[in-house]
Amino acid sequence: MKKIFTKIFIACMMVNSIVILYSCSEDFLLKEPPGVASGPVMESPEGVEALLIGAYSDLNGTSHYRSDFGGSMGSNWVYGSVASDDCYKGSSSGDQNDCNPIERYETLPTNLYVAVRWGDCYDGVSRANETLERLWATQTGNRPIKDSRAKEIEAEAKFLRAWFHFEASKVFEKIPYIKTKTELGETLPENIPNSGPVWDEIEADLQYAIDNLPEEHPLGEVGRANKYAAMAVKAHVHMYQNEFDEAKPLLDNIIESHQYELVENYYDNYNQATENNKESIFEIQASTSSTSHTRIKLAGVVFPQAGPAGIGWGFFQPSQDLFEAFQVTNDGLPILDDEERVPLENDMGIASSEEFIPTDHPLDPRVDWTIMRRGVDFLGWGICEGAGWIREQSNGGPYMTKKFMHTKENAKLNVYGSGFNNGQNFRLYRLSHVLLWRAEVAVEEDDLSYARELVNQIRNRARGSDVVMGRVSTYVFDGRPIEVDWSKPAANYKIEPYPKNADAFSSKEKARKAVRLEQRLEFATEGMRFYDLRRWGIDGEVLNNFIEKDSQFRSFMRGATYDPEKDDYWPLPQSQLDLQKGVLQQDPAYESK
Amino acid sequence: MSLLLCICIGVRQTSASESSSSLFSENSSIGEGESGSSNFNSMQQNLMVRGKVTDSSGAPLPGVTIVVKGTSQGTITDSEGNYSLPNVPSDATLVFSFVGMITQEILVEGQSVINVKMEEEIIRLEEVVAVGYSTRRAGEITSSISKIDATTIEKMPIIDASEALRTASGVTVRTNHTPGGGASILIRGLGTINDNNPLWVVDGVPGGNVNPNDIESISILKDAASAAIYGARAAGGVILVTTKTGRRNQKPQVRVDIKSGISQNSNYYDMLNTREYGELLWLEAKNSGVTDFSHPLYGSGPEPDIPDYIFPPRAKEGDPSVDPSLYDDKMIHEDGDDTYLIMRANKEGTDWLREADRNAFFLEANLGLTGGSEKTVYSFQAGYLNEEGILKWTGFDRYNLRSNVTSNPTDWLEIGERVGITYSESYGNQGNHAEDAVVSWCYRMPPIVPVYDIMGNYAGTRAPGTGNAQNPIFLLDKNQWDKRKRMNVSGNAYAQINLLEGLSARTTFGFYHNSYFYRDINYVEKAFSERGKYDYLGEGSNYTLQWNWTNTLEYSNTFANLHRVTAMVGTEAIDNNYRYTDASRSEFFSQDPNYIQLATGLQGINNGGNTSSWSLFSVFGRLNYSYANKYFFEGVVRRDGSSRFSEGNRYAVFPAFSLGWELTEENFMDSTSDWLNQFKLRFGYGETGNDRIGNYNSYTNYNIDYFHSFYPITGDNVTTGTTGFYMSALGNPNVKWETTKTTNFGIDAVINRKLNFSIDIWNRKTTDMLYPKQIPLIAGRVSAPSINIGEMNNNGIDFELGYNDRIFNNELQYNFNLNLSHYKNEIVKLSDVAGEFLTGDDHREMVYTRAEKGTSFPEFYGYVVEGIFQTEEEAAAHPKAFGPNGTYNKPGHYKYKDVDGNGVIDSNDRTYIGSPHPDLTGGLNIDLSYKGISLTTYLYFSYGNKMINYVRRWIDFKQFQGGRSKDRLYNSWGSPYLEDNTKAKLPIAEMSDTESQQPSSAFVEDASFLRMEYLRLGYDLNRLFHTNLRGINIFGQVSNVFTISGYSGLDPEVNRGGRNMGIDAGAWPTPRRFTVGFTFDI
Repeated sequence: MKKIFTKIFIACMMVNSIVILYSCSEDFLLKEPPGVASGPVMESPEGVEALLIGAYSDLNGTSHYRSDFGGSMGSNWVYGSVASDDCYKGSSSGDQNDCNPIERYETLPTNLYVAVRWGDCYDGVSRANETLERLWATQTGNRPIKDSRAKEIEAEAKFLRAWFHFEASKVFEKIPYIKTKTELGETLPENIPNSGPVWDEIEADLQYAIDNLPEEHPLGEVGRANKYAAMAVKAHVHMYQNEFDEAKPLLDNIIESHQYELVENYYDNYNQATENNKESIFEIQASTSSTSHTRIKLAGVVFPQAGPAGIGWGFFQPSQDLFEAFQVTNDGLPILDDEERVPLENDMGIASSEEFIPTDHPLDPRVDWTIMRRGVDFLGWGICEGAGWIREQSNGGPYMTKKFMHTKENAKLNVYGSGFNNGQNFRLYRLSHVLLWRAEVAVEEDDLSYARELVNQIRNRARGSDVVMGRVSTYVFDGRPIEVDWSKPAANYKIEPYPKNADAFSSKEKARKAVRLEQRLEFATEGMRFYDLRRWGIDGEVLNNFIEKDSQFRSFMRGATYDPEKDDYWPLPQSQLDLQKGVLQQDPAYESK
Repeated sequence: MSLLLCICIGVRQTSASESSSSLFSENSSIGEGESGSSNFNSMQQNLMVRGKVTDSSGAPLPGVTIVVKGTSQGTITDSEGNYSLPNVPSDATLVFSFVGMITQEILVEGQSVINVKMEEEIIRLEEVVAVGYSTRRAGEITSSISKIDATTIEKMPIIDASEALRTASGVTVRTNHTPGGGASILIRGLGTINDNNPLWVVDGVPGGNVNPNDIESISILKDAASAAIYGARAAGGVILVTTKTGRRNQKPQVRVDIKSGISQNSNYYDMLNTREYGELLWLEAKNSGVTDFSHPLYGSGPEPDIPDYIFPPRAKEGDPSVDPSLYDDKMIHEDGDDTYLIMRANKEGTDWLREADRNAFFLEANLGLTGGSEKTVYSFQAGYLNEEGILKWTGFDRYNLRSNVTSNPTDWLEIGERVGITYSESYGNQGNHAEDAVVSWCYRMPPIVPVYDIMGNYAGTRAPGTGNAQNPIFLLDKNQWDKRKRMNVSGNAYAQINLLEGLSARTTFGFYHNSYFYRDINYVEKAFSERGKYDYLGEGSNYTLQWNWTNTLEYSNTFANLHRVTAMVGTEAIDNNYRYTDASRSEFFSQDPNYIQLATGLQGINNGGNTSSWSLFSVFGRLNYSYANKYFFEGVVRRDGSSRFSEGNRYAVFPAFSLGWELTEENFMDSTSDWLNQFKLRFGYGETGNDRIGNYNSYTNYNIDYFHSFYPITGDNVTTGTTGFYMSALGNPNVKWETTKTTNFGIDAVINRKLNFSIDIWNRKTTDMLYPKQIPLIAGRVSAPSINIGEMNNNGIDFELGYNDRIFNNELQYNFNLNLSHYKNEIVKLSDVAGEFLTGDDHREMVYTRAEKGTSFPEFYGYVVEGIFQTEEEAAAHPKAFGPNGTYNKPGHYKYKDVDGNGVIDSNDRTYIGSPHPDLTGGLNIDLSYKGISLTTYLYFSYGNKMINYVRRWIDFKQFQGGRSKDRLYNSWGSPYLEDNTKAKLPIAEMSDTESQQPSSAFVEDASFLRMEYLRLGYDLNRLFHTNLRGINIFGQVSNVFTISGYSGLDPEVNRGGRNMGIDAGAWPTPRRFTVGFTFDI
């Protein structure tokens, strides 16, 4: 009997505990995600500010894998430079081969690069929209943000939203303008068609920013857009549409504010130690630290692969055509027509251990702040030894870029990480852009002397700038010491302003060429050239000439052609057309029959 | 159900059954009676029956169960094989049974001494099979279960338990050949695009850990009728592992098992040497129209010239620049100058894979002790394994201990524990399936680079023109201190109460603890073209702690000798917690691996960590009914509640049933009963679930990320930036389980007690398949939540056939087991968007796999190559590639097919170009045994599966400046070595050939293969020496004896699954291992 009693007792205990467990199962089965925040947490002054920072963070296009290449955000190196006559993809042929068809103007809608660009742009848009939505929700809650700051936040977010749409507009001809669900009301974001360019919406958001942003940087933080940044972007947007009348007052407004001056040294626009300087209107900020690198992703990508600073991948190589554009006459003036320039010696196919004597032709000194070439000091890291420093000359020619690498002196600002990253900002808008666009406007208005004056401001600054020093008298690099006379400039530099009676400003056509060439030289490799050729309407002529002349450097360019009707914009990503069937329309130039 | 049949060749100690039957407790009450006063007041004349039970060789057989037929009265033999059974009616029948022996029924007829000689059973219908929370007699099973026994496992040259599953039908096993790498398992195709892994349950502990040597048996629950008892986790099938235990009244038995051997690589790529490589460069230039070609190493002449030195480039012997005094291995941040590593050219060519591999040592030792008394049985196992990898400095060490004890302190209570502890350590660079794995670096290194420079330091790609590969020997050497340590403690403690006759309650507490630690030092390879700056250390650890508490109540009875009923109900609660922390630093004062610790790194100070958890609460039940061993019914139902789903969708019910009909028990089959021992029809239907879609799919999250949401808004150069948030995941609170419905029809038959076969024809259909429906990029890059929208279907057939016999006076025993499996997988629906598809990962910007409605998951996707253009006319006449302005078509290039027929080759012309899924797989096991000599072999084949040989994109095409295949020089279109261009294997070799590298049918190869997995020859030394030991066996074994395949890569079997199934991206080579071993049974 006792035994049965014990058994029953134990069985009851078991049943009991099962019942207890069962009745608690709702709690038992509740597991919330750790280490993340939910929507309501974001609806607070701190949350909204943090979301706004998240939206700024997309400026440097680091949001996802391969953004640095296919997205090419901020720097626009792929679409703005590689697709132009300034640069090649570089590196070796199989590397990043989605870029090869972009070089050859044969991009298909399935190319992953265009999807990454699209995604980078709209990720930024969605972060700006999320900031706006949470801002408005916070303002109706019990702990709102002070009105004046709320207005700034809205203006900053709209500035960014316009910027990301502008970035999309550079690559895709017709895009949808995505606003917040609150603004859209009945229409869902995914039902917004890409019926055409979205200039009006971009301009409206920028105008809101101009009207509501202060002249100083909001919160005193230099990375934030102020009124002039919004004006510069809006002026740029008008330049893209050749709306000179609308660009002009904005450009004048910036110039006349006297908030900005040209820096004394041209290289200060690239020097990491002189970021956010008096010339700078808006920069994409970058930093490195022991835990993170919010770099412009271009940095490591374009470092040379070999040589003392050699830690990069060796992409983004300037062309011989760009190098030759820096030649000047004995008067220190550029040569406007391509056909009149002389070929300059280059070390293509010449091993570092074989003799090569760099050209002694007079050159614009900006060339050696732009292009890494053999026999010239590379930002203090050492004398460039040519082929030995280049990943694969037969694929990308003999040069590398210089503007994205930090100087050896600045290495201390970049002690963290593998060396692949640096914290060098990208100067998106600076006074020199404003001056040269204003010069363009002046040319179109037939005010050639004002155009010349503006161009000369740029040229005089270059003339007064430090030049690259170190004349090399060693022409064979075989490991033995290199003889350098550091008291002499590295090359035969010469640059002068256009004199009053300069032929270049004797007619509108010539002045146009002079202003355009000045922009090419001043901003070379900075991701603008292709878009500029397109807005000037000379893309077809310039690029086809370039392909023909240049295929000795890129054997794979044989047979490629540029069709200005079709290749002026890239196709919309097929994946998005498939996802938004009936909403998004492919660029008709890319519709298959 | 498909029983795996085995001959017992004197391995008595390995076939003990699960010891949970209530028979033993009844038996002990008899024991009490015996020790008490005599019992003479019976009406009938009763006898005390004694005797001795022996096996066929006459050796005493302990542990044999003797029952008076029709009663529960019985006993078991003692360690000498003796028994005595009081109170036996003189007209009774005694039933003698023992696992692995043919049950004998003997009429008492007044005898008081009955000696019995047991015969080994060839077909084991009586064996006990684990079915989940209980066991069942094999003959009663109505669902689809495969079983693998210790006898089979012990002969296999395996390291990990998963590899043993290859011998079962319906199971796809893909072995990972890295040391200790195990295998991935698919049961009956793929039920989902999500996690298809089966649920492992070791001694009732989900996710449990077990070593092959500890395993008594494995049951593979293949259909829903059998697996539904595991409900929401069972859709991928369930693997139940039972570990070894002792038997009652068994003398302590010790087994010592030692094997040792050597492993070797069995295959190499056919690569160009230094001279041929130069020749290829000139051929490429010529084919690209470059007349003045120059190369930083091979010069600029009309022909390639091999230099004496590659760094400084193209230097000659005696050149002042190669003076060793110039040698400098300090980088610029170390002494202000760059390195100056002087490297000689390897003029013959470095054969990198041969430099990297080695003869690897193997040792395994196991010690087992099993035994039992009247009331307690026990088994203790200890093991050590040392497996060196065939690539230098790689390997795997494992130590394991197991203790299984079961005791009956009273006649109604059974308590027990089963605990296993495994500690393992793997070390060295074991990267696999990646372009940065050592195997891939071996083909990515050009032959001209030597292994070492003139000072004996590692040479590398710092020399211009040598590409961007890392020196694989450097990586192997310098990663020898990289460790992965894993400690697993898992097991259970349980108590079972026999409440009433036939009614028992059982409570089991199971636990699973896994802790893992890794340590990786990445040294800067100074000779590497993409070298970093500082040595780096990463360390991390994680742990999982899971408990489960399972309670079951089981009732079993037979009414009127005809109706047998078993009913079980139970509850189970599982709680799983996972946590990780990791940290890294870089820049160390010393390179000594012992100095390099997290505390000593000067910068790059990073740390991270997070946690995740899930829980499950379930109620389940099972009812079995059988009538006269003729008609069988089983019904199962489980209700699961999971934390992975939001409140409204938290619970789901998974029902299943199965039916069986044993035709041979029918009277109308009497005429065949002399040869047809069993003929059983089975039918089952059931539903199972899959909840493995991540733990928090229902929540919308905002996250911080240093790289993706922080921004240095203040303009500082050295800062992590200001904290920014972004929406990282969009939640779907409506998400619920994936449900897989399985129908199974099967036949089991045994003929002449020698031939057995089983066939299962099945269908699995998954509905509500979770699919992360893509959201348009205009909504931002937030991770999309899974929604229940997809459907997947699988059909298949599994076949097992065994034949066993003894001939020549029973001297030659032989046994053949053949299993064949076929499945066809099809996605019925992915989402409600027409044409939506899934792709695999991109491999260097190219994607090779895709899946959508109507395809298998996945299939290869790309262009169709119709050949190579031979003439200008042919090329000009073909639709333009790529795009209407395309310029690709020319002689020597691939002729891509205009699939959509619109006159232009573009991405719309990509199509499905092959499937990695086999049409048929199978295995043949052959066991022969003659006078103590045993020969076992296992052959495995896979037929009809295709593979993407992605490695060929690196070695046959110009993907960086790495090693190249012989084919590119000798068999490419236009090669001077090729007499007839129509026989070219590859397109023309050019300086840039990206467009020929497009994913296409040219990379798809037939990867069917037949492999002799192993061949084992053993001998029983007791035949020679007649020792006192129970057994002393010696054997020799070869694994991966041969492989017959048309596949051109290193191995046709590549362990990659999911979206990337069938892509060979540099798989670890399959080792061939030669082993000798001894087994002592004491």
